[in-house]
Amino acid sequence: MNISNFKSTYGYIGFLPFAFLSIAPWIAGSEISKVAIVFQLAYGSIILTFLGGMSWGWRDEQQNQKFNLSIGILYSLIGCLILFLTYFEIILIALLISVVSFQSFYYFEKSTVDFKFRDDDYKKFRKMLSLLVSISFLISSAYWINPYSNPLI
Amino acid sequence: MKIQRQLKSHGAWIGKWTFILAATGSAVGLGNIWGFPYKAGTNGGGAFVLIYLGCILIIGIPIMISEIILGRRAGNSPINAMRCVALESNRSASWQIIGWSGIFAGVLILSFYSVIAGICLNYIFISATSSGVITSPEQFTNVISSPINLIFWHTVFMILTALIVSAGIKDGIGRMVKILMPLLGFLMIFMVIYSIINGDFSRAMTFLFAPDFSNVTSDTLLQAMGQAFFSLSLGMGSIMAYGAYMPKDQKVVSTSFTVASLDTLIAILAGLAIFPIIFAFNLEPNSGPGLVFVSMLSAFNQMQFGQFIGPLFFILLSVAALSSSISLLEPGVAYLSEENILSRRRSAEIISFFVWFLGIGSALSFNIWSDFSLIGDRNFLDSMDFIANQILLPLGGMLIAIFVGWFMKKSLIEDELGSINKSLYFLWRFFVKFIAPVCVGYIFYRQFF
Repeated sequence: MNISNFKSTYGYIGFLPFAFLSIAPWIAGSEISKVAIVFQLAYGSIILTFLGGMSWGWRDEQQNQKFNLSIGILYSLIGCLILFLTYFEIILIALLISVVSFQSFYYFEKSTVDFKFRDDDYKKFRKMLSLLVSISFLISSAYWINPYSNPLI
Repeated sequence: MKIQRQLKSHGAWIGKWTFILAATGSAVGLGNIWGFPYKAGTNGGGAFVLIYLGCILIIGIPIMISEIILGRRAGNSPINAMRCVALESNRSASWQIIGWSGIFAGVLILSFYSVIAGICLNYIFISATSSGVITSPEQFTNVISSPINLIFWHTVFMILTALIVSAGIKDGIGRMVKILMPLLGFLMIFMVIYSIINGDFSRAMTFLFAPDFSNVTSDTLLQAMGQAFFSLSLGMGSIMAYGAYMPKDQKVVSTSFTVASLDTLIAILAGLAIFPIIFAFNLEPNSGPGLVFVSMLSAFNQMQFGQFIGPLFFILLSVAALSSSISLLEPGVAYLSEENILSRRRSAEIISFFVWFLGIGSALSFNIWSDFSLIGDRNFLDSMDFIANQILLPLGGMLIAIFVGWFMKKSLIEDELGSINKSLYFLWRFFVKFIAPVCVGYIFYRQFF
């Protein structure tokens, strides 16, 4: 298995909790639903902080690397913000920030010079994974908005 | 050999996705959209879905692969395909009876299918203008009690079908499925998103997927087998006819899996689009036309933006119906034109006219002929349904599996399948030889007893 396949395998395994935690509320309902969504947000905030930290490992000679570092730190801070909002039960805002953050981080990574030289498998994997994670947060947002399922109504 | 008569060529699909879209379009129809979710919900939810997937694997996909092999081997309409492959396998040309039976079944099904699809077209306008003053059951009664209204929309639908088929494979069916299927997908996703946000989605998820094995009986197995067989448009020659235009380098097995998966995915999405709305308005998830024409209209009348969502839903149904109807007309049209009996356009016109004429009987079955019985105590529409769906399709599917499993030359099969995994090949051979004919035979038997 080459390194790209290895990364994508781990990436998709890492997606499984997102998938499980976004579907579980619809099937289980009740109090479990809120716990599942809180866990999803907490897991998402950790992953987003990790993604932001990835920019520290990118090649220093890369064009705009100073800017990339700053943006990376911003994403790590957004991860902390999501955790903060979750703690204060501002769930819907935290979910929507997560949707935007995961998708926009992909576009940020895609805009870097070195990304263009990555192999096609890695590019496809990053695109698909970001999309799937954003969809999982969208599904949870819908659960929170839906008048028949929102645990606070 | 005797078979080497000059038959007119029809051309081929452009790109590997055209066949997949066309075959999926053929498989995804009205019954699929309102039938599968209801059967799943009332037969054990997730337990039914699991059994259904098993039936797709052991009945649906093996027969679909067989039909594609037969069609692509000969590159002709089902009748000539069966004759060519039978003679190539040193068997009697009488096997062409399968092709005749498929075409005949397709014509009969299209005759009443077009009437119901016409009602869907009519409902696009009804749901856009409905003010809720007339209740949805009254509205449905008004629609079906008017023969002129039913025949008018039946005519519109048949004209659309004939226009697409007469334009040929590349410019007609090929081009239209590339428009209709993405449109169907887009509308379906829109409806699901709407239901996720506004409908009682949790209850629908539980209804559809929570496994309840206490509801599983021998009847559940029969329902799942029937759904797996009928939902993939098998036994009526459509897949065989479409297979005839499939490029030689396209892999038959993986393509069949893709078509079956898309068909199942759309059926599940249909359930996720319909049931959250039904449950949100405390309506009964009863089956069949009542679900879409009465319950759904009632929900659209009550909901916010119902006059926008309602028409979109009925456009979705009409698109699904149209993509299926063209596959019902194609085998007969392909036969007449490849035999040089008539031009493609003329063939489409003549067969469509015949179907339209037959459809009048089905339209009248809803009103002035409702007391007229043709076979037993069945009215005209039910009699057409009985002959086609209960006799010809299972018989055709069973004979296809028997022919490919027991009588078709092995070298021809291997040639069409290309290089596939040996265990997968043996598994398919086993299913098509033993399991599929027995299961379809059982479905056929249980239709009567």
